[in-house]
Amino acid sequence: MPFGDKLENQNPTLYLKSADRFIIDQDYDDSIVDEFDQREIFDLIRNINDPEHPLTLEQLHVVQPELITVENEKNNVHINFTPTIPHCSMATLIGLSIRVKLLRCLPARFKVQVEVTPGTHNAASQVNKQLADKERVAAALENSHLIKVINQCIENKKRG
Amino acid sequence: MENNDLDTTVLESLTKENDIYIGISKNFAKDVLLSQLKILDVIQKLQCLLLSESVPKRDMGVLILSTTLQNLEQHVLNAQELSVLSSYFIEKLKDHHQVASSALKGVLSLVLFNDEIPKESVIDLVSCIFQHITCQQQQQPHRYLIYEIFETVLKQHLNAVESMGIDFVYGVISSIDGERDPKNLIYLFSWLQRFLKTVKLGHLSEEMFDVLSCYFPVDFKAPPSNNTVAREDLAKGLGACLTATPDFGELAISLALEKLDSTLRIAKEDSLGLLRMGCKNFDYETYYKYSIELWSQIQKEIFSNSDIELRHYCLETLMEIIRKLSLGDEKNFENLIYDITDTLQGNLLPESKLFLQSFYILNSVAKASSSSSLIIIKKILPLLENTFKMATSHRASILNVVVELVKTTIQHEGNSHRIPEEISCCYNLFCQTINDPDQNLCVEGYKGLSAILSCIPHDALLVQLKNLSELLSASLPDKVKEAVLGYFYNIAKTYPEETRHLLENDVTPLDTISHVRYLESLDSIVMLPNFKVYVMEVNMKCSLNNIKGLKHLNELLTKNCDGSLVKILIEKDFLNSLMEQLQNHKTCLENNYLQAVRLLISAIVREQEAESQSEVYSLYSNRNFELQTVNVAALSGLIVPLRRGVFSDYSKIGYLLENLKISDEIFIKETCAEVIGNLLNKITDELVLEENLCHLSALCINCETEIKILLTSWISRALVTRNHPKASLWIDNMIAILEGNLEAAKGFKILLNDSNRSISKENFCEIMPLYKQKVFHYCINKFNETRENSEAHLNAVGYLLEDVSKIVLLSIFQKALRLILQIMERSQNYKVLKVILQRITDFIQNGEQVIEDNLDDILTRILKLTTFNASMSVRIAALRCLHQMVVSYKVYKLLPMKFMVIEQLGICVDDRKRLVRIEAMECRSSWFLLDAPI
Repeated sequence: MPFGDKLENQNPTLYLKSADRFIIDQDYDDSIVDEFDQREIFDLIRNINDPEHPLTLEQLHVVQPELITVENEKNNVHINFTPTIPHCSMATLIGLSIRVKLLRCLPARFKVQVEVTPGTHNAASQVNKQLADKERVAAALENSHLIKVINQCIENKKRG
Repeated sequence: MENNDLDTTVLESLTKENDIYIGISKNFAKDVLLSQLKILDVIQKLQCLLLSESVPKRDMGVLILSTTLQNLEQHVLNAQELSVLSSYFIEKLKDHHQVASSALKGVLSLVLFNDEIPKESVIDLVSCIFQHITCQQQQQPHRYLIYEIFETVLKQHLNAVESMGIDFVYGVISSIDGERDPKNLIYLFSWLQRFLKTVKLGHLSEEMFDVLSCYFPVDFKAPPSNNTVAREDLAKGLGACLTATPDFGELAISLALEKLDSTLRIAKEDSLGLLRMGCKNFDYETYYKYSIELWSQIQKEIFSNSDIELRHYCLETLMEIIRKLSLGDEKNFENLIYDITDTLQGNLLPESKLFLQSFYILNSVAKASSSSSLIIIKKILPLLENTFKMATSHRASILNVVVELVKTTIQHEGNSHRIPEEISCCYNLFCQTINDPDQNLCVEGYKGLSAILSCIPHDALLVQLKNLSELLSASLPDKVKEAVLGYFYNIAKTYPEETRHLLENDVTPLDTISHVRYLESLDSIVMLPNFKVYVMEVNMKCSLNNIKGLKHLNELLTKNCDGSLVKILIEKDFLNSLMEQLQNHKTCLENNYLQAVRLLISAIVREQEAESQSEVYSLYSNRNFELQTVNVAALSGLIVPLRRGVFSDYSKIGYLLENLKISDEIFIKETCAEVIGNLLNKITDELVLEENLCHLSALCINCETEIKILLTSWISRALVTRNHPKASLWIDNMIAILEGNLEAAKGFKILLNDSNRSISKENFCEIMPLYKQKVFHYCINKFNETRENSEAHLNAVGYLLEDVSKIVLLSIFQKALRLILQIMERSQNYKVLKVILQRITDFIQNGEQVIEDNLDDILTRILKLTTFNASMSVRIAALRCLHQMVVSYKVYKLLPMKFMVIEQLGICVDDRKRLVRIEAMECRSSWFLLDAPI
């Protein structure tokens, strides 16, 4: 456990994992262009691990497909995430993990915005501000302790 | 060296490090055996050593004498001699400790003389060891020797052991107490079992148990290099010793209970093993005494432990214990089972967390004995039925529990009349569920019916059968179909007459699709002796009517390839009916149909002996069908599976060639070329082959390219597989055609690919071992001769790579590398590229050095292929390859390339296909994490 030895949320509610995306014949047709969609972004971040529990963000409903917006032509991706409790001190860390994962995996053309779902966190505006500030994100990533924790969250133990 | 030349100096110069003394001992033994020497003479000759004051010399003397005795056979020495020798060795055991160790060897040889050696001498020898040799102070080999002496005495001198009584037990206990060497222990455990069973331990049984139980549970990790002793062997041996005699019963069970409570997994595993093994030798009363503790402890373990394997052990152990208890007092046993059911019945609500585990326990208890299963059925089944009726969810799980319990009881009772009425009552329950819309429930219902088949009343069964026969042709979900067929199989097996009658009288007309479904359902009973012929008759009829039936028959024959089904076809003269049917075709036929006909004829002819094959061939080969395609299909079906030496009608080659040349049908062309290949492979007369080859090569020069490619490829395959000297010539031809002809590369696919069965062992062709290796080496060398290869050449290499084995490719990887790199750079053939990328991924996965050595060259080419525009499968294969590198290779090897790869993958994550993007994203992520702190 990265911070302290007491769990903030000792008994989080667990949700079922959604099934893998169904692959249709169209997906194998090289001539059809597949646009980026909600589900694709969701698949990217659903397996990020929670910093506190050995569970994924999907299992805790921190990220949900409905809270993701993709505008392919405008090159915008907007993600709302929901901390499990309103005073969660990990919110910024979770937000950062999502940002870093998308930074590494999405094409550079996309502008990624990660924000707390409105009304789900006490310090939502502060967290949002931190996550939106490029300088602060870059500075955070240079903190060796922090980047270690983020890498642990992102590391995908299971393929697919 | 002859022992006659032995003098004092030679003897005195001997050392233990030098093996010469063994030779001397052997010579002595030989002389004694040939009666040239007496044992007394040997001792006299060794006088200078045996009487020496120096310890090493005395030691050497005793060693030579011991080794001599070891090499003697039985009956050579008489009782008196042995008695004297024994007294002598007793003295030597009391001598200096160095001499005593060598004397042990002699003692072992002496006790091995089982008939002649007097009992008293054995007792004296053993007593002397007990008194004068402190076993645990000896070195490991000497301790082993002492145990060997004990074992031999136990095995061959039981009367001596009996007269020694408790002294022997005491001696053994004190000798083995504290043994630490695993090799010695494994030996000890192997013979102590017999010791414990034959010798009365008396008041020493607790001491003996203590000496052994200190090793329990065996916590021993064998060093990786030394694989002679495994923990499991030690644990097994120890377990067998601890349970060898009923005297240990109480001690062993308390020990097991104590260790079962520990947190160590090994301790739990061994304790359960001990309890299981104890069931063989311990008394029923012992188990009964501890039954309450045993039950509560095992139950706790099953409920609380998350280790599936351990839970399984617990259940097995519980079953063994209950089985043991069932042998004792009936009343007590019943009470115990009632206790168990009372404890568990509260858990049998599907919402309960312990539902499944409780069921497993009950099922294990039921499996243990017939009476326990009856009690459980009577007590639990009505309860479960009620729960099932009331439940709104998890109904299938409850029904599954019912079915499993019923199965267990039926297994115990068989067809006996003791089957309780509770089981018969289940019939209605199962009947209701088979019509339920919930598939899982339906499946369980059929499984239940299968289980209680013997209890279903006959009338009801006939109705069931009627309903089932309708389901055979119906479209059902896969799992329901499987359950229905399982039930149908069981009925057909148990009531063949009724089933047969019903099937034969069922005349419901069916459309083609339903008919095929019906045939597929019948497949489930085709191997039942009563139905074999019937099912085959139905299949034959159907296959003459439509192509689906024909295909199905082929599948059936491939699935059940023991030949018995084909025999039925032969007996019924199906080939004739099929030929008649073919005669009726007037219009153009699909290739599928023709292939199916070909396969079916081949399957029938293949099973026959040479003589019958020859008859069949002459009977049908000259039939003239209206359609040329049918002619070729039938002829190829007849020729391909012929045994070697049967075919002699060489005029047919001309006929095939003629067809090959003039036909426009691709089926005819391919088939004719295949058949010619098959024939050439099987020609045994070298001259005939030579003549045919000459003719064919002349023909190849003038014909069209397409035909030339087909013919050359098949002829080459025919020759390379039989390792013919002309093969290389034909491969050269193939390479020559490659010039300016992209299509020709496909010929190389034919050359090594085994998926087309025309030239294969099952069709009696000659397939030499290692032919692929030879062809591959030859081709790679040839291709390497040219500096700049055309794309056709490169594709040909790609096709060869697909079928060559990994070891062969690795052996000449350096030679092939240049070509592989060229393919990756220049080829546009996605199939070839995919094959190569998959092979490289495979090599990376297995950590082959060859890729690592050329990492730079290969990696840059793979990177280029990640944006291969023409095929997404190539892009995906390339990305997987890159990902595998991160998994398999050391970080420092890849680090120099990291930024180049990440940059390139930045393009791939914006690929137009989502499946490619997923791979690219994962791959890029893993490259980012390559050296990242985690």
